[in-house]
Amino acid sequence: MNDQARGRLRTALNALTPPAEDLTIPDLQDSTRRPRLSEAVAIAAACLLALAAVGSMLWVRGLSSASVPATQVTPRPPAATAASPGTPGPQPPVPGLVPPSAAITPTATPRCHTSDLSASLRPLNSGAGQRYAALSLTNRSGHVCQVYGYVGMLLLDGNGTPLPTDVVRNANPGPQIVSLAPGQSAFTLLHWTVVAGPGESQTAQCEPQPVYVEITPPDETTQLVVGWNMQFVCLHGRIDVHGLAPGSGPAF
Amino acid sequence: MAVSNGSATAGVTLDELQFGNLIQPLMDRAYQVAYQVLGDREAAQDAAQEAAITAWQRRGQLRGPSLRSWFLKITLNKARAIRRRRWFTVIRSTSLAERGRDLAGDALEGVADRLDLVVTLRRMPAADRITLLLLHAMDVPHAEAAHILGLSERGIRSRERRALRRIRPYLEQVQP
Repeated sequence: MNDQARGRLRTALNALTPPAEDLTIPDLQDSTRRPRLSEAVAIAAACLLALAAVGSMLWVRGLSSASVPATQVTPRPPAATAASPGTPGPQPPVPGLVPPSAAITPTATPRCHTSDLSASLRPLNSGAGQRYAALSLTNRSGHVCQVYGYVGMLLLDGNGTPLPTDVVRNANPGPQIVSLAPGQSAFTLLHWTVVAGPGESQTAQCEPQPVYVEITPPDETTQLVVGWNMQFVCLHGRIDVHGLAPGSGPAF
Repeated sequence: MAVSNGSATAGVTLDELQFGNLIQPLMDRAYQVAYQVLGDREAAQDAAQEAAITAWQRRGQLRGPSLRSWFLKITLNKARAIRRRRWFTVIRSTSLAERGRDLAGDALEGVADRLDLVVTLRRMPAADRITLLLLHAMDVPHAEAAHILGLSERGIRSRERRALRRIRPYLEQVQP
């Protein structure tokens, strides 16, 4: 390698890393590690959520003792015991919107954790450089659980190295509470482009070919990994997602 | 003071100011190494800063061919630990894309071969990229790079050859 190539390699290697914003050494005298900003935000958010949950429960109890008949806020009995003689038997749970009142009753359906779910990707009709797929999360546990929100995603190459990924949440349709019985699914449409954008190579493939994708279910901190048997994702890995909706998505 | 960036003695006693003066010049390199693992600016900064705290807490165990290699090794371990907490990366995975956009706007714009070189480097496994970064951007000797990456010197040379082979077409393109 001659000097020119060496210099070019050095420049390219230095160009891999954006300039740092803050590299000051933390207060070393305080040997207890200070929480990172992200951790502090997470802790604050958890506290707020806990306060909100307690507030909601107190509010519901207040209603039950004041103006609302007790029967309206009594925790709903399990479906099997709710059916009285002469009434239709329990219906199989159907994925869909859960009434808001159910979400705040003490017997609210638990959230689907990552271990409760399996993920699958299905390519949909695509064209003109635009690509679509349906990402389904299926309840593989033995109990009913619910999902609410958007998935997180990270594209990976064959070695498990993260590739540029830019998950953009579309507000319409937005999130809704989806209750999933065992075996039922919720889905989101994925959209991306295979046309190179600004800053991407126009002469070669715009971005590396993903081999896997990590899926983070809403409000979870662990991931499911599934194969990405579709094309690469231009615009620096931009993938548009929607709020999770009941079902497995369109057929094609 | 018995320690410099170039050589280190185990069991030395450093006060906070001395330690800070030694580590501060290495923070940018630590950040660069962490970024190759994490692909995220803030996470890489966190890794470098956590490494500084860990290094301070373990200053009595300072070992290795130099303070630099010891500190970069700690940083690399921190970055890998952060990466294992993957949700963090999932949420903040746009930085590489941001960097791609930055590249388009800087002096490299229009130089297709240079961009191809950067793109190829980005596509490499992080370990290969770090190897080249240490050897060819930071001028770290092979023995020291091997210590940082936990390889033998032979292993690091083999990895370097493999990585250089991948980018050679882009390096040769620009030679007159």
